[in-house]
Amino acid sequence: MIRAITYLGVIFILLPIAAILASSVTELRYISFPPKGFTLDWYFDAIRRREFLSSFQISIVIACLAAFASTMLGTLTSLALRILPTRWRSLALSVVLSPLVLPGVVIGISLLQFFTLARLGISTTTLIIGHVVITVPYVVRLISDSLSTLPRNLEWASASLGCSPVATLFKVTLPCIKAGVMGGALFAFIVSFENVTISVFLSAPQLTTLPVRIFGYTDQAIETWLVAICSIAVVFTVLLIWVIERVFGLERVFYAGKS
Amino acid sequence: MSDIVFDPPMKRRRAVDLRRIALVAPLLMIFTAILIIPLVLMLSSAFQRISLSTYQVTERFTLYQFTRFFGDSYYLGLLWQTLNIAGLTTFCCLLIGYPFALHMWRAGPRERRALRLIVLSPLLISFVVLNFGWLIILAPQGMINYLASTLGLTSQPWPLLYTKGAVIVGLVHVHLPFMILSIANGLEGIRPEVVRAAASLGAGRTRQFFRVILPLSAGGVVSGCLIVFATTSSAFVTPVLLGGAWVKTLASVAYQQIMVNLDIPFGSAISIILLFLSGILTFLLVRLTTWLQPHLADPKSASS
Repeated sequence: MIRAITYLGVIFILLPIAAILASSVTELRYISFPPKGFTLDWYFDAIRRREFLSSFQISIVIACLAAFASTMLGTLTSLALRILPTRWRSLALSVVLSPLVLPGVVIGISLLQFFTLARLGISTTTLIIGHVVITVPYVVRLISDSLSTLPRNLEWASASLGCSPVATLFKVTLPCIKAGVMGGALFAFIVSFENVTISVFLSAPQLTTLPVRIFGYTDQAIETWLVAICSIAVVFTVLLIWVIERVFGLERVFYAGKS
Repeated sequence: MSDIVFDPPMKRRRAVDLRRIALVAPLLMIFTAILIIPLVLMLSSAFQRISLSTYQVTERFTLYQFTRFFGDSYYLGLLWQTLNIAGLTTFCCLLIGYPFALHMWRAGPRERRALRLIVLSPLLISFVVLNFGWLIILAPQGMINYLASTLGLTSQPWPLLYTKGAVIVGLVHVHLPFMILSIANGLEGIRPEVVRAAASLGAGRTRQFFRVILPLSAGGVVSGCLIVFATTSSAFVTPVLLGGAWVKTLASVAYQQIMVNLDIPFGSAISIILLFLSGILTFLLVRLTTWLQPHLADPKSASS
């Protein structure tokens, strides 16, 4: 019984992904079941569409920059949290982590208003800031986890052996939390790459990430080239999962991030 | 630890504290700018009123947006619909998620690893793409309607898409991993000896489950429900994609008010209501967990 429900759950989770992959190679122009024939034409059709190619590029660039910025900010924040007095620390931590529990709509709408009122408008920078708001909590949580397992004695030892605080940071602290920093950066990249709820509020016609672009097209009759684009997104993610699994171990990255 | 030895005298300590605050100040400013100020702005604009022809602010402080919301049965129905969808989604997630997590917990290392990979996969794919998969499956020419018509169950395609059911299916799919991971976390906190002790004292499998495993994993269940309910009650992408114009939620109407009608104050007010809703529910559930803990798990058998 329990096993049966589990495997029904597995089918439930994988079915839509399988449906995308299967429907993307059909010869039919509009989606209909069962898929007929086999062709990769829709993929060529998809990559010929400039707006999707540029959205894909934008998504990757935004995700890289957001991951970089939030890793820097997150690392500094985690280190700073450590030197705060306990009472302040928990308050600061709950503020920094609050985007994890705040509804995405709320963050999106509030940032849109803020950027409009500050006359910053919508640009790559504001979109990255929006993504940093939601990726920083993951980075802070992962790095704070790494830091909490790092004995302070190591840094004290380094200091008593004559290292300056900066040298201690670069020679002792950062190497020890490297796994947390890398995990945080990866997590930030993924969260930014797949985000819709924030991006949808901070997009402009020339600045549209891939998920937002797909979101904008789904109110029309679904043509197969759109499915091919979704399929490319799936394949890209699967490759990413594979790389993470090989390099870091997916579970390590996730368990620190989701617990 | 040798804290006392390292503790500097009072006077110096104060100076150090100031230096520490100076170090932290720039970070504090960044978070204030990107997180706190926008939220305060949104809160203040929820109390404004704009003219919908010129988009100029006509009133600076008014409760108009809130009376508009709570005085209109349409929006109250929307509130109910949102809670309803979130509740049903949470329930379905729990129904699939608990047995799934339980099986994962009992499974051997290889099966567990495979199941984990499968659970994690929806988290890494954008949920626009995941919902898109359901769009293909539930469409009039989609898989389910094809199977139904070949099996002779129906002559006309069922209208599956753009229904509440479709929205719930899509939401369950996106949020199931959170539920499973949270319950799995709870289960992993149970020491195997506790279960074995129950077995050696003569408890059957059912009794082991209801008296030991379920109470000890209740914390994971509650936090899973909390996460799923809070995120689904503010979801708007899935309702827009799979519910179309027919199934609306608070968040999708807030999105529409801001992006389509350009009525920022009303959209903000709806978001504030959403925020309060999730805040109150979080608070209630946290209180419930702390209240439940001693009642559920007998302290003598509790592991952690």
